[in-house]
Amino acid sequence: MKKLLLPIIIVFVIIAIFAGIFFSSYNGFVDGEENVNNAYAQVETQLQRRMDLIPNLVNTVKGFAAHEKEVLSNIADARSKLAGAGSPEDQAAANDELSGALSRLLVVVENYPDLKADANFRQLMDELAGTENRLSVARGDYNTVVAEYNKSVKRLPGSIVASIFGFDEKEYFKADAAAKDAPAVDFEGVGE
Amino acid sequence: MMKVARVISLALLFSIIFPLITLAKSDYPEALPNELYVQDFYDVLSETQEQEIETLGQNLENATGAQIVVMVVESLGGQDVATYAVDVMRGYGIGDAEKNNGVLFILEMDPNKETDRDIYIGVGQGLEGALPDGKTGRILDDYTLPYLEQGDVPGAILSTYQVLYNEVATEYGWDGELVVPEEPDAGFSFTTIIIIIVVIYLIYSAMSGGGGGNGSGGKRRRSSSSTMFGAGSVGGGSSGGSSGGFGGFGGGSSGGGGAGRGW
Repeated sequence: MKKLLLPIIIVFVIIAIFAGIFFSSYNGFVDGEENVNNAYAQVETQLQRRMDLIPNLVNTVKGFAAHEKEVLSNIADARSKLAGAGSPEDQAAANDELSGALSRLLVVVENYPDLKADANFRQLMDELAGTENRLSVARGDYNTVVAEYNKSVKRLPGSIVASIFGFDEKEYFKADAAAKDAPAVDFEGVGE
Repeated sequence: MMKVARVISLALLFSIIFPLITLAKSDYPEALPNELYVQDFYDVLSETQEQEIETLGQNLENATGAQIVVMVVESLGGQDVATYAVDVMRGYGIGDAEKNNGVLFILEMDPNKETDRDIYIGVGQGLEGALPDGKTGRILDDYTLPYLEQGDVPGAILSTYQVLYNEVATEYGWDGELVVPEEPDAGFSFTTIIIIIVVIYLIYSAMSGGGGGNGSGGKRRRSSSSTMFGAGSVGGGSSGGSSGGFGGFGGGSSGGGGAGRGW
């Protein structure tokens, strides 16, 4: 009986060690996934905020430049596409399209000094630029968290636990390099 | 087999490089060691003016826990000012670590540029309600740019700081010592009067011994060691062990709020 005790203890210790690794990496994935979701919620908040600002902006611009129909309808289209996008990849693409449409609007705005000087328009553009910036911050934070999470999913020994419980790699929120710059409004020469 | 190994190593390489790209940080100077609310890297403010802002900042922090920092740099070297502001706010840790109630006012002085020098007000998430981007932009339009157009950089900094101070104080329901910044008129004579008033006020406050911090008990503690700690100094006694952070900053962050202009 005494001879058996030692092997039993050893077996238990080994089982305990494995269980420890197992549980801690499982919990690590749960935490990691939660972090990713949390970071993504930040991205979505900013996307939503951006979409909320667009109708206001379009209406304000209409008041000064009603016949710029093409630019305005491009923005409206891009906005509804963003609203319908599901995956991070689709959202990133739709968001880039919206950025493109907005930057074309900014070119048009140059021809309307009254619009540029309008307090409401300036405020909207500040809000929009701030949202762009928050979005890029949220996107950067999200990608950082995803990179960390994906590394933990792919690395041994965690990858075994990850595959058993179906923890998959997460998608990055990739931005078009050209669309990365927030649209800047040049208020030069206004209000003098 | 070789192919598989190559794919794996490529994937590994990519997974190493990608985070590095997303983590690319702005290039900004370390916070000045003996300063907190005034990070004047271009020496545009006089001793008296710095002292006035430090006093305002200290009073505000004691009462509300929020931190407003003004940063004057020679050049951003073409970096995006909004990203720069986020990185500085996170790097220095402006505002409280829990409440993220920091504000950063950045002024670029670049002597090689006539236009398009950046001014920017970055706002921590905890103060985005009090200072939404639209309002922040208007503050720059109304209280900063008019001074800058007249070449009065210290005036621009002081008036902007005072407006931000008032907004934050109001947000926290603290009306102890609101300051009254004058909105400069577009006209000429009025602004000169204001400048004179500001100068007289500065001289006055300098003569009365460096600011009137006469609020509730034990507020004025200006020895260099006590200014080194942000949060936690309200309760008197020992300097509070604020959670980490850098120097005297509270460890606050930023979600990217704020607005900017060129001058």
